[in-house]
Amino acid sequence: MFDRRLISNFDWVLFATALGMSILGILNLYSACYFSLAHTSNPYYLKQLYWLVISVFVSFVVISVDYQVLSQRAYLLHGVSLFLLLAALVVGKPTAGTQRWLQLGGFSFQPSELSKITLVLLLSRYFSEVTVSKYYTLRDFCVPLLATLLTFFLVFLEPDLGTAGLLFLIFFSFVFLVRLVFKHIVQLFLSGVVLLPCAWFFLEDYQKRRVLAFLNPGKASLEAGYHAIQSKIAIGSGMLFGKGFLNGTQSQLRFLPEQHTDFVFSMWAEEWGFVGAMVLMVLFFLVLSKALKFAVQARDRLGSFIAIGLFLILFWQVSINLSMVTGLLPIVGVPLPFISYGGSSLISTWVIVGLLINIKMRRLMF
Amino acid sequence: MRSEFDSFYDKQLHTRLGVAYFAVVLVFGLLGLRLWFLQMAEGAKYRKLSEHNYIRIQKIKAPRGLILDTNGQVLAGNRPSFDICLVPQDARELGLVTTRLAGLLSLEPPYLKQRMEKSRGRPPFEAIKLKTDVSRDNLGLVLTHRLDLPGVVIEAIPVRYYPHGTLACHLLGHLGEISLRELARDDFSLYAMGDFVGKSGVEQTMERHLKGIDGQYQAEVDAVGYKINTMGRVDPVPAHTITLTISLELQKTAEEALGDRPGAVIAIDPRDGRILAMASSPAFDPNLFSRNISSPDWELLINDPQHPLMNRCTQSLHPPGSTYKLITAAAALEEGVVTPHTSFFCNGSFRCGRRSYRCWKEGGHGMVSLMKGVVESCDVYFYNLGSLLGPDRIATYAKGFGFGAPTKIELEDEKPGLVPTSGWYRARFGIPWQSGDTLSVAIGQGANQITPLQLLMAYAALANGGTLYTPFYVEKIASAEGEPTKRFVPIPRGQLPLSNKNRGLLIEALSGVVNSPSGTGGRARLSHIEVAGKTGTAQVVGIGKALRQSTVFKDHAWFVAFAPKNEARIAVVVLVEHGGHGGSAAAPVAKKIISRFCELEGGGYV
Repeated sequence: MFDRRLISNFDWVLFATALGMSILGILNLYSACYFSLAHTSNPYYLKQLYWLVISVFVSFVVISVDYQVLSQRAYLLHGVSLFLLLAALVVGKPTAGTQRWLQLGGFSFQPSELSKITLVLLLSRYFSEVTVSKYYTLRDFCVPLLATLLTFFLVFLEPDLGTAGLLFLIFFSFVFLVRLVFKHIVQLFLSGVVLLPCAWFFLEDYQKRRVLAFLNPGKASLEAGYHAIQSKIAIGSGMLFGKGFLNGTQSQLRFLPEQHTDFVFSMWAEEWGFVGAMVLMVLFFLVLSKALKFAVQARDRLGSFIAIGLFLILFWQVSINLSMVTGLLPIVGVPLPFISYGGSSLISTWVIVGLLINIKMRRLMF
Repeated sequence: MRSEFDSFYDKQLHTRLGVAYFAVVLVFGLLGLRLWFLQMAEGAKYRKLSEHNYIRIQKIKAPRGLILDTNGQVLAGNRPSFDICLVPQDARELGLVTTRLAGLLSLEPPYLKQRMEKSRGRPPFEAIKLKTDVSRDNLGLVLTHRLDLPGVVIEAIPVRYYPHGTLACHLLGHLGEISLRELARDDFSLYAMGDFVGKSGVEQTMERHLKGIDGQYQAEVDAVGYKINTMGRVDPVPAHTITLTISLELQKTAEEALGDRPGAVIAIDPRDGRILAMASSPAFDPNLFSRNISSPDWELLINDPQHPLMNRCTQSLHPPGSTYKLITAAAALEEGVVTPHTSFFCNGSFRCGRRSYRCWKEGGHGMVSLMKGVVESCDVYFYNLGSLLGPDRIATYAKGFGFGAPTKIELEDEKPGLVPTSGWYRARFGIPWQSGDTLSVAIGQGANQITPLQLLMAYAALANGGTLYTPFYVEKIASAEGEPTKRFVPIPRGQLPLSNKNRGLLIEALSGVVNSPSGTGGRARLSHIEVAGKTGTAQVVGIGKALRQSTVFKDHAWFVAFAPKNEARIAVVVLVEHGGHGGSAAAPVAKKIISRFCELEGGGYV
């Protein structure tokens, strides 16, 4: 069924790197819940292990379908994404004042994670099809901008401001990379700034309150400030070689907030030190540079664009998360790909890996 | 087909990807440098900070909102409590510290050990509460010895305080530690384990206004756990102040007049339904609940056969006795079965089937018209009305007067009571309605079940021109600075099914109850204000007279009144459980309250 060339072009390095990072993540999670292991029947690391198995399977499904076939369904796929986002808002499971989760059988699932990828597929499909004589003009941006705004709006309502911001970053950097005339970038940016307050009027009262609570500099900054300090102490105290596996006092004593999701890196850096942190950084760098390389090698513009979009998702998430835990950026809830706990996040990361391998594998097929 | 532009574009794309690659290198380089700075350059400092975590985040409790009476006098406030806590991580030698502390405070070391045991499994930097409400002397002792007591810290926190003790305890309510079930609810999302929330009364219904938002601060502490530096602080957001419609003075009078007899007293303004006083006896001290109530205290309250925690005003159900004759009379007049001048002869009993039903007056009242029937509370007159009306017509009017349904006062667990109908009777007993039961219902005995508040609201509606109000007790809600955020307006619930002419007739009759020499409510008579009211005596069980004298089976005494007769400004209901006759046991209580009300009104206090 498979062309032999496909298998010989499979990128084992990227696959192995992704798998290695996921396993390091699970190891790290084991340490994160070690303290409470005695009284949890189904600890995070075990759940994450199940998720990894599912993720790798999903990734292979993605690899097996030509990305051109996938992108032909890009509009439909993104439509499904939007529908799921809407469903989460309407029938989703409310958690800590947000409505991000969709309950499917025994699983909870965050549609916003999926929407990043389908948005990239949609943008790539659109831009690769528009015939251009010179550069893309503002008129060419109506459809993708609308799609992005719609997605942004739904995610914003949940509210998941971290992901909503990420969507905009991805869109703008994507637009920049596919080269819009600079003047148009400014116009686009301004229209976004104008449109954003309009979204406010569509919000329900309780949603406004959530957003305000999120933006409230008073309480949020203190709590966040505290988290930032604890995170810095955790990372810094790791020194060169770290305190050793299961020995991170900051995390074991639970000074760290969200140590299994947003602050996993602090925990890793505390237990494995500067050396461990560098190992992770190098692995991330490897994945990112692979993505860029695939973008250059892709057989068509569509492949390039998809690879660029996926690269941007990973790049922004990694750099925002790491800047946040090291105290370079204020605290926003963005998980670290591969390492943070969370089924939706892990699956979507592996879908990205699958798509990247997909593009690389088929670069010589015409 | 790749055009010339396409290949140009692709070349451009490659350049831009180069820029992206450069961006990655730049960002990763920056992050690497940052990590180097944190872990290598500053690593030793952070290592030290982590080994002994010197930074604490501490809650600043927002004091609970005040509850004031209508004149601004504090009914529920806060007092400071000094608690001694221990941070295990700072104590170094736990045993030594607890022994020393026990010695200083003359406590049994096992007591402290027990407290410590309870907190096992919690992070070692979290303070464990060892002793609450430490006296000033002991506080001084601990402070002077603090260098020998590493890890021991003193927390000052506001605790709910009711300066008048048991006063209005049922209306004010009490607090309790938040339960796991409450914690899981959405409206308690801002709460944490160990927080206190209102469990009854105003404390419960106004919880969201009374709860402030806790503040917090980050503190750098020294090696024995004492704060040396505050690094950041968010002030607590104070809660709202709630002004009630009740008057402290009138409430006191009501409670004193009732004394320690079990029962209920409520006074309202009949013009809008605002509650001026609400007392239920026996009472409890809500201060007991402000910290965790001790189990002996709790056992005592919960096992008391008199149920002191129950608010008899809204939760007790009794037959209304003769106070219900108002409803029977109203139904008879409105339905046209009698005119005010229709008379019946009372010879002391009324025959129905094979049974004879007695009037309370053994010799009988002679010829009785409506006026005399109400004033002297002649049972036979109302037996006649009852048998003419039948149970269901009486029930319709009873419901029109607000019986059989909650008054919708915003208090927990209000009882709806019961208005018996023939349908209900068949469903309940499986046999058709017995005509004798109609007679019992007509004079307010038998299956009728009402709460004192329902009775009061019905009479208040009669007094105010016919509007049935939902009673309320919150005058306004204001921010801690006194800025009013919400004012309460009367809520009409319905109109009495009564013409103005008949209403006037009934008011006249009620005035006769108090003011005519033969009236049963003479003990509520006041010289300076014309009181109108009705006595009632609710049979506890249908038994012989001899047994009825013992307290357990003694009848419940009712009195419900309003004053002045026309344009009433106060309406009062009194229930004395097992008090005997309404005229002798309950009417004097109402008199005291109305009299006091007039004094206060003269002084501008109500």
